[in-house]
Amino acid sequence: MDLGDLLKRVQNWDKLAIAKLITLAEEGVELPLETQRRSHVIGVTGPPGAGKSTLIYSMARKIPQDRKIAILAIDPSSPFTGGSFMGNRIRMQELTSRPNIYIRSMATRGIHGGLNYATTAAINVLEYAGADYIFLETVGAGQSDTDVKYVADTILVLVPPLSGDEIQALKSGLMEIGDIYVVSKSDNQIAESTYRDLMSMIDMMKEVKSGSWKPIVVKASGLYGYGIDDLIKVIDDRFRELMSNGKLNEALISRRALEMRLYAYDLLEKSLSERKDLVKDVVNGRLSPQEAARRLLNAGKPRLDHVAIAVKNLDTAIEKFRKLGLRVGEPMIIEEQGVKVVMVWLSNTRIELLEPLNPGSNVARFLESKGEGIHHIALEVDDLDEFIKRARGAGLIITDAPSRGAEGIVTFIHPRSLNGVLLELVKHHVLNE
Amino acid sequence: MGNTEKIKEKYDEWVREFLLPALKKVPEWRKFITSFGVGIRPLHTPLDVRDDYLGILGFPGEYPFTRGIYPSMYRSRLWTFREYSGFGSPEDTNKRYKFLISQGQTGLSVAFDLPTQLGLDPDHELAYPEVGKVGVSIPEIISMSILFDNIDISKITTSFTINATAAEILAMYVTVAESRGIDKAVLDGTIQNDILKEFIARNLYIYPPLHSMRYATDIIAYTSKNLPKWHPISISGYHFREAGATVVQELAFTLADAIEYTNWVINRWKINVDDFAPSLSFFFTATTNLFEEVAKFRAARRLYARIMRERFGAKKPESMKMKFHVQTSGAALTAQQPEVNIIRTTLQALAAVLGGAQSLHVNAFDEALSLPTEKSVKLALRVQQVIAYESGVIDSIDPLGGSYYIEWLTDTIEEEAMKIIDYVDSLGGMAKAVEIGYPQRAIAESAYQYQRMVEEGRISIIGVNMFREEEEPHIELHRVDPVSRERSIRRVREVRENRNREAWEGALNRLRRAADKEDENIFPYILSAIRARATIGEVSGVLRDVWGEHKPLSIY
Amino acid sequence: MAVQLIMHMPRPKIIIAKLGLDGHDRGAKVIARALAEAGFEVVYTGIRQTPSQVVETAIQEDAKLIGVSILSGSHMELVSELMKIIKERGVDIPVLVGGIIPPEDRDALLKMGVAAVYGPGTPLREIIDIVKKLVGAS
Repeated sequence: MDLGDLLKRVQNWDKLAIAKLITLAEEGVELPLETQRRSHVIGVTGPPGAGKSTLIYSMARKIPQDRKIAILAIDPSSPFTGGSFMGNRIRMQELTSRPNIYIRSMATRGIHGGLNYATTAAINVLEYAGADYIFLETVGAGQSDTDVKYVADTILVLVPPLSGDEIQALKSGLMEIGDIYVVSKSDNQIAESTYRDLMSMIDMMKEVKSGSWKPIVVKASGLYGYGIDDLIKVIDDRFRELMSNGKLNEALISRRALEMRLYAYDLLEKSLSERKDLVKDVVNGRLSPQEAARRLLNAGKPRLDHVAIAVKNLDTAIEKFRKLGLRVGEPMIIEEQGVKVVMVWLSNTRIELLEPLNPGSNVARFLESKGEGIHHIALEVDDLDEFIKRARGAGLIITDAPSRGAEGIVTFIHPRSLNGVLLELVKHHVLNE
Repeated sequence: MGNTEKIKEKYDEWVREFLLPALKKVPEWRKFITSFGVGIRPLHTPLDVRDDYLGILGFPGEYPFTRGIYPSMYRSRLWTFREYSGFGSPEDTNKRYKFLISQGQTGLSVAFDLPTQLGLDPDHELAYPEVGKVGVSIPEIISMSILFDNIDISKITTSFTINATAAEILAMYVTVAESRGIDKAVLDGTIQNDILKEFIARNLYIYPPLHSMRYATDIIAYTSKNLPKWHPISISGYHFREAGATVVQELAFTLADAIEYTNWVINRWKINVDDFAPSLSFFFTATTNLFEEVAKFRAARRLYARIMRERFGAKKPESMKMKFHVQTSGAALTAQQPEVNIIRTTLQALAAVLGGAQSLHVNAFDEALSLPTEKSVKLALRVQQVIAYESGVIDSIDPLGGSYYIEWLTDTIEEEAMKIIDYVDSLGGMAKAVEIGYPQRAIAESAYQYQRMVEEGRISIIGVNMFREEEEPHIELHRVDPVSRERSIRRVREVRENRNREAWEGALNRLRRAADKEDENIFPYILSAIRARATIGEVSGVLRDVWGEHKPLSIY
Repeated sequence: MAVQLIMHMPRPKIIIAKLGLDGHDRGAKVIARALAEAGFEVVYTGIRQTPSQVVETAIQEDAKLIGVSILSGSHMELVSELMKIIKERGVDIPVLVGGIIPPEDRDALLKMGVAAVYGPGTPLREIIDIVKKLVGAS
């Protein structure tokens, strides 16, 4: 099955194709998913044994069968063997054969924060497949279940019957993230007092928390099916509200950011397993652990920031680099230096293409005397002043005082003093979001 | 110096001067611990026994019944030889019953197929592959009548292993009796009707826990008034053990279940404990660990007597007597070298008899491969007969009583079980514990640990991890006649076609309304529906509609 | 095409299911747990599964192997239905059968295309090894 065919089938809610595509996505393959419509991603959390899968089962059973429902159930992986015993389906198996429902079990695979890259990848695929609801059942280990808030549009916290003290203990983790709290509906006294404790706690939170959605407490029982219709209604109301106030897009942005972070973790692990040489260097005392880590991540400085090439015609140069399959950024005009600039992105550095804006500029003079070719090399440094001091100490010529460039503060070392190479020194701005 | 001090001094001296030097020369060849993990010292002495004969042992037939529930035990009446049996259609099983009775069996025990136990008629899509496989198919009243064709049900006692559909089956039995002119008050027998253990271990439940508890306890309330000789429940530890529980868990969970049922009947029906407790009965396993099993049965009687008297304020001694049936352990049977199972079941049956059982089933040696043949079930019955008539173990009551080791084991098992019972209490009783999955998880954990010990050779099983043979066993196996399934389906369709439609519909409608009313006893409505020729699938279909179906918890 | 990830890498997924109506889940749970401890991701479906539910589960999970446990004697009917559905759905997933299976039935099951059949008393090690072989894990 080729990818195009697979993607087409996924959009027709073909469950076999969805399963295969999720497997590809969780293996780290980047997929061209152009999603048409947001799913309502509902994180279901709560302590282990609170009945999360029972509740999801009861809801999925009652949601009209013309709506598409996906359920991702997460179980912990063993930290020792990496294996996982995944029992969350047990409660839901009856739904397996319903055409509108897709269920997938996922293991945590050693990630802290409760979610791993595979989960975000699966959510993307399911959204692309057109799911109306995506239920994400977390492991429910309290404090560690924190990442769910970055992927879920709505967080449903299942609170088992607890004493007031126990609720206080829960508060620090689960109790702060919920949009909807579900207390088991039952005639027993502990359940009643849990409900009252929660209500008063929510009342106090409402005063602090700004924003339009006020957390809601719902009484329901997955085991006996009570209160489920009300719960579904609350969930749907919440989705309508998110749609109307634009919050849905915010949630998508935070999901993307989480996806990047989790993918980075995966890459890091991969690099760690591939760069046994760095570990060896640390063991032998050739590198400090810190330096080895920086090298692993390509995070050490000074590092090569870019190599600049002077060109006569930027557009034809861009065309050539594009044809090589490289990503070319947007051209920019920098009046101060009399150049038109474009960056070509490589995974560990960049190539800068320079075209002179006027005959008097530096680059124009360079082209005149030397023709097209490498114009300068740029190093990124941590401490520009210190570096300049060292350069001066070595008798090198600093061309200008440091000045503000497009990405940070820059200065140059004259080629005459450095074996014919014009060396740019850059200290990037720290980007504050 | 008192006698105890003298023994203690001598004991220490023996350890120092005899035991330790001997062990230095020839060390013990393995560790000795009980199956539930408590170390076993090489020798037990009066130091291990509490000096309170009247308080903890007493006399047979007297509180706390440690030594037996009847004053003369097997010298007056042997236990009931009751081989669990059923397969195919009722015609096939009826033939097997008559064979067993002709060979000296003294009570009947019905094994139902899975569709009957789960309230599915044989023509239901899910039922089809299973009809008549693990037991007999009894989906309607005509089948029940054929099952007991030419068997005098006013005389013989019959045990029905039936739980989620216990009321339907009892209703069929009562209706068949009435059609033969037998007053239902004389009927004697047992329905298992222990739904808690289905949720915990055996897994043949239908409705959610609270509805199921209502169903089960309504039957108890009904029989306590209308079928005085009937045992409306057989509170079972057997299946816990089969699912992997330890001997202590078996005992503790069984008694915790008994407490829950008793509480329910008292709270729901406001019946005095002495008005129904005498009809409660129990069901345990017996594994090959002879002494542990004997100690378990003795500890069970003592614990139960205390619970009924102290916790529930029972006054009648009958309410405190634990009557129990024993089946030898199915999980202990091996598919490898199956003939060795005859030796195992003999030791297991011996444990039941030395433990004072009222009724006994001995597994056939081929049951790890399939249902027993006529030949293998006869051998199983012969095991009981050899113990009863040849061995002499019945001559004296509770012959192991007073053995230092047995008394120490009895006390130890009792103490350990009590800890678990206390824990279940702290969870709010067994129905609550089941909802959060505590006993299910505990048993799954024990099962896994057991299997690991087998793999590591810490538990020995002849033919499995010791003295293995590569050769496959060549024995003749029982085959269910494929025709019996078609017979069952044909009959259920005939029953549906040949009944008074109006009466049938009315009875089911009344049942539906009663199911929805919390304070109604459901049993009389089920009885009326069965009398109106409703099938088991129809009755349980109505209850499924009203109560819903239970889905297992994701607890593992 | 796939990026090789180590700890976070998806592991071969295995379905362990109780096929049919019988409730004897001790063996299935023990085997599921042993496979999990051997490093597999094991989806346990619980009891009372129909053949089509089991296949549908394996499809949705993109499983590499199906293990079914049957102790009710209805293995011939249930497994032949299971194999038929696997074929119809056009998936290629090996099937293991465990339970109380008389020797001549075992041969018949193997003929239906079942990869292996195990009875009571089979060492866990043996089952883990065959699973590793069938899913191609080292």
